[in-house]
Amino acid sequence: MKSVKELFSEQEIVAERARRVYVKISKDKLRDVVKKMVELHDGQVYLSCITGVDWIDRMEVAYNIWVLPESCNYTLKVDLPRDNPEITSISDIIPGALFHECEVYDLLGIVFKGNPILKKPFILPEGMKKEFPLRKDYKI
Amino acid sequence: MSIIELIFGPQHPALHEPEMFRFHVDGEKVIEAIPRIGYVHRGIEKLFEQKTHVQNIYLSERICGICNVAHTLTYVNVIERAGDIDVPPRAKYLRVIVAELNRLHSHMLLLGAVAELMGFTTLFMLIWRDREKIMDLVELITGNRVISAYNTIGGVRRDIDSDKADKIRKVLLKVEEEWKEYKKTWMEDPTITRRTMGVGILKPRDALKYCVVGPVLRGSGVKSDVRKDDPYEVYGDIPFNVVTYDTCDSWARYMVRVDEILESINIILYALDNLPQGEIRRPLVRRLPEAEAFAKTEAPRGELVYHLYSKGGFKPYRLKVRTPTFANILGATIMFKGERIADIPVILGSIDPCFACEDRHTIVDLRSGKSFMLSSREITRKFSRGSKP
Repeated sequence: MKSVKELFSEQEIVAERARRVYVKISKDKLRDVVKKMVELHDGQVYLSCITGVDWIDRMEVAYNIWVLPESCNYTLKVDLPRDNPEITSISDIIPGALFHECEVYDLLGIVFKGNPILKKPFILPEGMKKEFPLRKDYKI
Repeated sequence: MSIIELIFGPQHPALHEPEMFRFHVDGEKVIEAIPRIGYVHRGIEKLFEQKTHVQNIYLSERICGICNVAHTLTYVNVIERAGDIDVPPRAKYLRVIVAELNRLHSHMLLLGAVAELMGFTTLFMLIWRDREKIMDLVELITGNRVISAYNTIGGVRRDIDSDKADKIRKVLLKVEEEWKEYKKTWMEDPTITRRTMGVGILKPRDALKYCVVGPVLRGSGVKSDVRKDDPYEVYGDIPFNVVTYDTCDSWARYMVRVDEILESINIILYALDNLPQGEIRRPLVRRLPEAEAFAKTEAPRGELVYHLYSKGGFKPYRLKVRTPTFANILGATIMFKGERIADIPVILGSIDPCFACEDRHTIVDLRSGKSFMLSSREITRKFSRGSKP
């Protein structure tokens, strides 16, 4: 295997542009894919950011991982149910994900199981223990 | 020896980006560093969703005053990618010029402030004198010293003529000449080298593992620069070097910035010499189709990321911003391990956060329960001869 792209089937790749690949995968496959991405290029990858989106009928987490030898950004999108958004943490594979996961949990309430420092509030003020301001039903 | 908890931050009356570190120290040695962030979280991502794409240009540049050009540049980039909006070549070159001026004054701000932190006030004065010249150039082009409001969707808001181009060239050549002298100082002067060399090591593998970006990553010897790896605007056409140092210490991270100043000057001079004629912006596009876009640029502090989801219309559905300091803070906790209290300001400075956190430290003796405060100035004064024998 030479390219990270080969890890994904044609159905999983939802869009492709210059130096950008968007893929949609199941949450069970995520950890396996991230592990393979790191191993394939001997750790020459870093996590740019984790974006959480509230689509009202579901939640989406998008892991943006930059692969240095390929000069390409892979956006790994995972859909989660909105009433119980839970996914296993990747912070043991990429420790840099620790803060990104905390931020998404704090703002959207997506739980990253296995993240040792996951707490609320993380960046929000002390009093905001139950609010998730980036959810669409949160009014300002 | 008693284990002491040292609380570092978070309040500062003048600067932005305050953060707090809780250090567990054994005597002078740092055992662990635990960051606490979010003191100035203003809910801008939520606010983006309430405002139109055009209003958001001005909101995005208020995320960070120092690298405001990098923020608007990334924002307009993500909008242009989502809407497939074409930008005239002259505007692309002008964007590069202003973005590099932004990098110049940001790096100079840091290097000057760090020189002062190390007790080298002369160098601080000299560097900040040069920074004023750069700020004047920013004002000359954009009409404003700090918040420039220069980039807009589809181009830039002001043009330059040959008089302005000549003035920029003249000032930059003078700054370049002086900067070559400062580089010698950064390389040779013991006031700097003894405080920074071998201090705050971040090995390349750790740098990648903890996902640090920009000069911090390059200071660990990893050749990664968004301008080269993922060229935006016209960086793909402009010759420049990606500066890396492989000593992985605080000195390396400062030297990356010292060299980048010289590279940035060359980039601006090249852009001025090759500035194409033509219009500077296309008619403003206010409405986007349903789209998703991911844009990143090399801000002065490192990779800056904007991730946009549009459902069509005048407002974004979701706009995620990842700033470089957020990525670098975790890496800094690795740098602190095993270092001394006196080196904390120098190491923290090397990731180029705001100095907001540096002015106030509470030291708590866990055994006696007593606490006392020490300002960074007192620490600096106490250890200005250098902590390394």
